[in-house]
Order: sequence, then structure tokens, then C-alpha cells
Amino acid sequence: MDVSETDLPGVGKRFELDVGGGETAVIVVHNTGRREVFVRPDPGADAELLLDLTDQQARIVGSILEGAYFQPVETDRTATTIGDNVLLEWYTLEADAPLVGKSIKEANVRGETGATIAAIERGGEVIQSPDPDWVFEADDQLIVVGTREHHEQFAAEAT
Amino acid sequence: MGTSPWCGRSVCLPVVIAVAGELIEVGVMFAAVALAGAIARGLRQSVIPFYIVTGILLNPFVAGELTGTVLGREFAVGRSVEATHFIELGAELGIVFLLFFLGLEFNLDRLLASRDRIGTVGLIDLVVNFGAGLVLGFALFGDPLAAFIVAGMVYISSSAIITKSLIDLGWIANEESSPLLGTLVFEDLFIAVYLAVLSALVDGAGDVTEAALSVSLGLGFILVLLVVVYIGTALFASIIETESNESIALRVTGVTVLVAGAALTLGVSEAVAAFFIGMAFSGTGRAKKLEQLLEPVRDIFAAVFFFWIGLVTDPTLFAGVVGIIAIAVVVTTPTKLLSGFWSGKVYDLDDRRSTRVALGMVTRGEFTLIIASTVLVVTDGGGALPAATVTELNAFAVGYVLVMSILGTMLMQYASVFETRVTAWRSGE
Repeated sequence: MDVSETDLPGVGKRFELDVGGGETAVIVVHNTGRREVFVRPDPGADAELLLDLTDQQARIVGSILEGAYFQPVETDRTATTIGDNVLLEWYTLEADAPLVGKSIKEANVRGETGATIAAIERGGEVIQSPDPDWVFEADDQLIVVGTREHHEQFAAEAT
Repeated sequence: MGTSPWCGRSVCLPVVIAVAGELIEVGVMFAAVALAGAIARGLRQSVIPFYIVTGILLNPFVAGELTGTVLGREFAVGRSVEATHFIELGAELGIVFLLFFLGLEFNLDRLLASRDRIGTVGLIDLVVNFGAGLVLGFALFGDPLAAFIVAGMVYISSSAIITKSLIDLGWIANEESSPLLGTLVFEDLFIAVYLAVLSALVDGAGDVTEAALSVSLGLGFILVLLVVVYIGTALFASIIETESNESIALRVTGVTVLVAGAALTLGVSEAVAAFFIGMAFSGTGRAKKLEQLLEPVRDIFAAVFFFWIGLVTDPTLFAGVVGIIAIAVVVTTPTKLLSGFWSGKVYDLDDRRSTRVALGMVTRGEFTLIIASTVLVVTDGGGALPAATVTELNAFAVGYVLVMSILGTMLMQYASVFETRVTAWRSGE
């Protein structure tokens, strides 16, 4: 994915990214910190201003777009403690959970959250050690093992 | 306003009143400028012509005359010698800071990266407009030096106004901003050299060898500054190596104004010196911080500069130069349109965007006035030009900028009208 960068002497820099459908995202970063976000609807057209952001606002919008601005989600769960700080918890996946539709491999739960999915219950059946291509669905019940921090991470990212 | 050592009862009061009078003059200036700026923004116009007009309205020729006849006592800004000196120095600082910022934002590496295209469009702009200016100047004034001055005045477009318009109109996000900004960068560089040469030429006697010596000294000073900028980055970085914002601001101002003043004493353009000092600080990589700290200072003194231009201009002189202003406008608008359109084509832009480049280059402003003030200040008390010519050139510059700044801004705002016309005409060819 190519981002083209143009120097704007005395103003700042302009970045352009093709986002498909003929549309181009154009962002002008001013030396003053101001950011202007435009969309160019098709290659020959003028760029239309969408957002005129201060430095502060740009950083917030940026982090939202980056996926770092999470809101914790409440889940219906019970917990069992194994050892000092390892917990075993049950989670039910809602229809809008981020995991739904992803395969085990894609989700990379251990890598992303540190927690491990020990088993999955679907339609009354318990599946142990599902293969990497196995896809999560809504109403799946997951048995997850990990520390409290892992569980918090998991809850935030996957459910 | 504490107690002063010479303040005996009967001595103190007149001193206070005297200072009070000057302070009020300066206060009126700042208040009026602020009001003018508000009006300009309300009308979505550039503030520069409004600052100038404010200076004209409040000067001894206008406000002084009017109040003198109506009220019997003259009230104007610039009546007291002290206030006038302060405003004049403020104007000098305005030039210094304007050019300092230009140097600060200047990036030599980036310029070199696009040097082919910028070089091409810069030369097109130079040959067409400076050339036309030389012919025009000689036709109007009959003097080669005056022609050189007029050429510079009509050649240089206003980076400040055009850049601001580009951002306001959103053109900054489109392709046409590249040839526009590129040409402006080339112009900035050229004008630095031009001002150095001009100061030397205008200062000297009519003697050719003396003039040549002056010019060499000026160019030599520039060379020294260039070397300092290139190898002295560590030095400049160490100057601003401090936590305190106050300290940074003071040190940078100290260095800049000191070097600019030294340059002026040597007969070299202080604007050019400030430009190179700005470039030197830009090399430290802390340009953003410096811009942040000094922008308000620049804005205040720049406003004083434009006010001062109006202050020293007698509007009755406009009557005498209206003719040459009209001719200049008629000649130098199409030249910019031509060079601008051509520049757009160099950047492979279509007719529509090339038209925008053409319209965008028309605006003249701060640099034309800086040239005028250079001539004014350097010839003060005698120089290479007769006083009458200097006054005429000054009135010409002010009137020309008032027209071109507003004309140029309007052309950009109503660009779509021209775009459709030009595209239709060109496709019909």
C-alpha cells in the first residue's frame, strides 16, 4: 500500500493514499500541528475537506483508527482459579464479538492476549484442540485459561 | 513607570506627559491594526492591504490634516519623532522576523530533491516577469536603477498571501499547489540575492567601480553567511540548547537581530541576513519549536511593518502615480497568468489546474513592500536615486500592492469562472 508524500514548502507535508473505488485519502500535516483530512472522490477531482483537526484531536482520532482506543465489554462469565494467579473462565461470544467470523489462526488469541483457549462448546458439543482453520461463531462458549491480565486483555479484545 | 533619577517635581511631569503622548500614539497604532485585522478577516480578505490603509488613514498626511483643519489641533500617529522612530524600528524588526521565518521554513535538501522542476518554473517566472518589469520600469522612469527596482517589485509574488489562500481554498490538497509553492520557493531565494545587490546599488554613488565594490561586499557577506549556515549547525544548536522557552526566544531574537543589524551597518540587506540566520536555525531540527515561540512576535512586528508603510505614504501622491500603477497592473497581471499557466504545464497539470496556478501567482504583497522600504531606508539622506524618484517609487509600490493583493485574492476565490472559460477555449482550439 503506497502512501505518497509531497513536500509543501512553508506549509508542511501532504500524504495521499488510494483507498479503492477511485477514492484517495489526502492528509495535510501542517508545520503548526494542524491536520486537514480530505477525500478526493476520483482522480481528477478536487479534494474535499472532511476534517480540520488540531494536533490533540488528530492524535485521538489517529489512535481510534489505529485500534488502540478500546472500550471494555461486559461479559457473562464464571471463574475458577488454578494455582496462585491462573484463572479458568467461561465466555459466551455475542454476535458482535470481534472473534466471531475469525479462524483460530487469524485470531491468534495466545499471541494477542496471552490467554489460551482450552476448549470450545458449541451446540452442546465440546471441541478440544480445534484446528487452526476452525471459525468462531456467535453463541460459542469458550473456556479460557490465563492470568487475570490475560483475561482482561482477552475480554477487551475478543468478546 | 518607576521613579526616575532626574525626577524632581517640576521636571517629572512634562517627561511623563511627553512619554504618555508617544505611548498613546503607539497604542492607537496597535489598536487600529487589531481592528483592521478583524475587519479583513470578516471580509475574508488578506490583512496586509488593511494594515497599510490603516497606516495611511492615521498618518500626518491624512488624520493629521483632517483633525488640524476640523479641530484646530493635529492628531495623528507619527506626529512625535520618538513614536515615529519606534514604529520605524518596529517595521525593521518586522522585516527581520518575516525573513527569519522564511529561512526557518526553508529546506535546502527538499529543494535540491525537486530542483529540476522548481528550477524550470522558477526560471519561467523570472524571465517573463522580471523581464517585463525591466522593460516597464525603464519605460516609466527612464533610469536603469529604477528599472531594476520596478522589475523586482512586480516580479515577486506574495508568498504569505498566496500560501494562506491555498490553505483557505483547500488547493493545498491538490496538485496545483506544487508548482505554486515551488515557484514561490525559487522567488524567495532569488529575492535574497536581489535584495543584497539592491542595497549595495542604491546606497552607492553613481560611480560604477564603487557600486561594483558594494555589490561584491554584499555578495561576499552572503557567502560568509552561507558557509556559517552550512558548517555552523552545531553552534546554532548549542545556542538553543536550553529548557526555558523564555531563554530560547531571547537567544534566537538576540542572534537574529544582532546579525541583521550588523549586516545593515555594513550596508548589506538585513532581510537577507535574517533569512540566512533562519536557515541556520532550521538546520538544528528545532524549527517547529522556534516557530511556535516566535510566531506571535513575528506577527506583531510584521503588522507594524505594514502599518509603517502606510504611515510614510502621502496618499495625495497616489494621484500622480495612478497612471503608472494602472499600466503596471495591466502589464504585469497577464505576464503572471502566462508564466503561471506554463508552470502548470511543466508539472503536467491539466488546463483547469494550470489556470489555477496562473491565477494564484498574481498576488503581490510583502516582498514588493520590503523592496520599497529597502530603497526608502537606504537612500534616506542621500543615495543613488533622486529623492523625488524614491518617493514616487514608494507611492507606486504601495498603490500597486493594494491593487494586486486584492485583485490576486479575488482571482483565486473566483477561479472556477476562469477555469471553465479556459478549458472551453483550449478544447475548442
